[in-house]
Amino acid sequence: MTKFINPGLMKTNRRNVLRGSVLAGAAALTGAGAMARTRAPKLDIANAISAKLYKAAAKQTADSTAKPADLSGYTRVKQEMVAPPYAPVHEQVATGGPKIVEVTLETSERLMVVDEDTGASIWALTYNGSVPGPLIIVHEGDMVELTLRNPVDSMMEHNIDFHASTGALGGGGLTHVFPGEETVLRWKATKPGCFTYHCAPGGAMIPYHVTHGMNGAVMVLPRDGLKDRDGNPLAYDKIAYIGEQDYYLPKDADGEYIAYDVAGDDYSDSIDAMRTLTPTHCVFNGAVGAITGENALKFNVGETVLMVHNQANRDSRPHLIGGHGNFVWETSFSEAPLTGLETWFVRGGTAMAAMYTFEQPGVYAYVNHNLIEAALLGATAHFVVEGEWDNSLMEQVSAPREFAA
Amino acid sequence: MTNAMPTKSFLILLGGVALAAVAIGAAQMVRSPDRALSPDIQAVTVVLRNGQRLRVQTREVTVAQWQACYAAGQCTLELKGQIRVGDYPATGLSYPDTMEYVRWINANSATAWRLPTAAEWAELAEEVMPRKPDPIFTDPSLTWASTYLTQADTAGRALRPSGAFNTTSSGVDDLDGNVWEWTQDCYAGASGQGDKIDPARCPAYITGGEHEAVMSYLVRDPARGGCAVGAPPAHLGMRLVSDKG
Repeated sequence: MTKFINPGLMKTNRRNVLRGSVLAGAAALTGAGAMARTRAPKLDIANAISAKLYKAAAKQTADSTAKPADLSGYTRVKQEMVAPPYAPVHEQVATGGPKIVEVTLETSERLMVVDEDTGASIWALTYNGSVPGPLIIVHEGDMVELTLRNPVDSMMEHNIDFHASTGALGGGGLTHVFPGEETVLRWKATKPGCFTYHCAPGGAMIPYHVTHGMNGAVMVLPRDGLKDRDGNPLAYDKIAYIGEQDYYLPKDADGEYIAYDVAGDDYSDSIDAMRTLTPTHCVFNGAVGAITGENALKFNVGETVLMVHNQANRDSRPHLIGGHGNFVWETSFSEAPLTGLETWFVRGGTAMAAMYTFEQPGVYAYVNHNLIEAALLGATAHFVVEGEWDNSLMEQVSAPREFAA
Repeated sequence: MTNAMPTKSFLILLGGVALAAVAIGAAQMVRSPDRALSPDIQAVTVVLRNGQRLRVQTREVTVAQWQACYAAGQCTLELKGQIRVGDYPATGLSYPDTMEYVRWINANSATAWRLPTAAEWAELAEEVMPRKPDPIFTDPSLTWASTYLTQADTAGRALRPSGAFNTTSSGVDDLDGNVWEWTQDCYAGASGQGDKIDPARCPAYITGGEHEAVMSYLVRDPARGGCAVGAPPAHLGMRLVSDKG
């Protein structure tokens, strides 16, 4: 997959060109300052939408009645983020007491090719440069301490809403960062399960950011690990972290995908395309074919995979062609898993997990079983499994042959 | 009027038709801003407290004024379906849209028009602004939520003709209306990083309205709802000022 880095402090964006022209005229005539001045920020981050009300809020003199968090008994650990479809190093069964898990996400805006066949590309809005953002794994009772950093070369403001967290719009109200800013948010993982996280800067910017890739998943494991309905432990060998992304790419009058110079330039066209509710692409891990062919995930017969599927915007229905969902947690790890599923459901705006132990070698296709989306829009991943074929499970008794009419 | 030959022919044919009316209609066909649509026509001079003299459009840029820029090929956005042309403020404008309009106006004007600063806007609007509501939360831990408005904006959300709202003593209309006006002030975050941001890459600007608001430069329609904001503006438009008071 070709990726281009944000051209940084690119001077030739649309606003700059426009302002440059204005400046030339205005300065010549009046000697006045820049058309756009940067004002020293006076507003509270979370009050960015209403300075006037902020001023009212600023008169508050009383101390907060909120009690400081008791962090005694917690151990601090760092979790290194890795790009999907992989999972960070973690324990399935927690050892020791509760932890404060430090993670860092950087909001990076980058040009990504969605489909090499057509050249369709998008100025993706990402956490750590990938679609989806990295998988974060903690245990119930742990705290996530996130450093959210917006590089100075960004065009836009970003923030993050963790569905696994409690309060302040999932942290969205406390994490607005503008280019060059970082913020730190700590929240407690009180509910076990897989949860989506996504950017939510307000208004139409919310679906714009989410449909440009700015979403990912947090997995909150029970402290004693996953279990079946009878309480027997369930362990996995590998995680396949699949982020399903619906893209709505603008086309020109000839039906060609439009290329844009800078992140954000596609905003108005994208809003129009999004209003159709009809995605031009529906892909796993950011691009058509991101988990197929040379990028297919590899397993062995007998290995157990936990497929963590994130869809921050719309419903999906994964199916493992040639296999099953042995244990499926569509909602929460507090619920007993569903067992023996052919296809499972991903509610739009959630992440969920399905577990399977490979019994046959060969190739499996992991698809969104709206097969139009799987085959035409891109929602297909491949798992390549090595091992011994089991004729007791399936055997080609006779190869295709002519038969007498 | 650099390109008005068709208009002139038309006028000769029509003879006694009221000249002003024809000129206004024709202005939408010409490339350069017609004087009838120039900000100068409806502008007043306001002296600010610091002695600064500011020429201010008495009304927000109207649909007719905007469409002239669109017709000239200088503004990207077409205000489609605006059958109430002329009497209504142009809305649905993003910051880059306003810059296109400013560039077009200034390209053919002796006056250098610009967006007001947030401070200028606030002073212009001061006397017609409604009383500040109390924040709904006062605990400092809840400042992120204290901007939420549980009362409707007094101006309502339905667009009204230009001039439908209050007029200041200086003669400036509609500052308390339901169209928020882009200012040139960049808002680049709460951390004090603002000065380090290249103004050409400013992520958001302050808009003037019933409550001052910060909008991403890209937004044309500050959608109602969404979860991360308290009270988004109803509509986004623009009003020009110049220093040639």
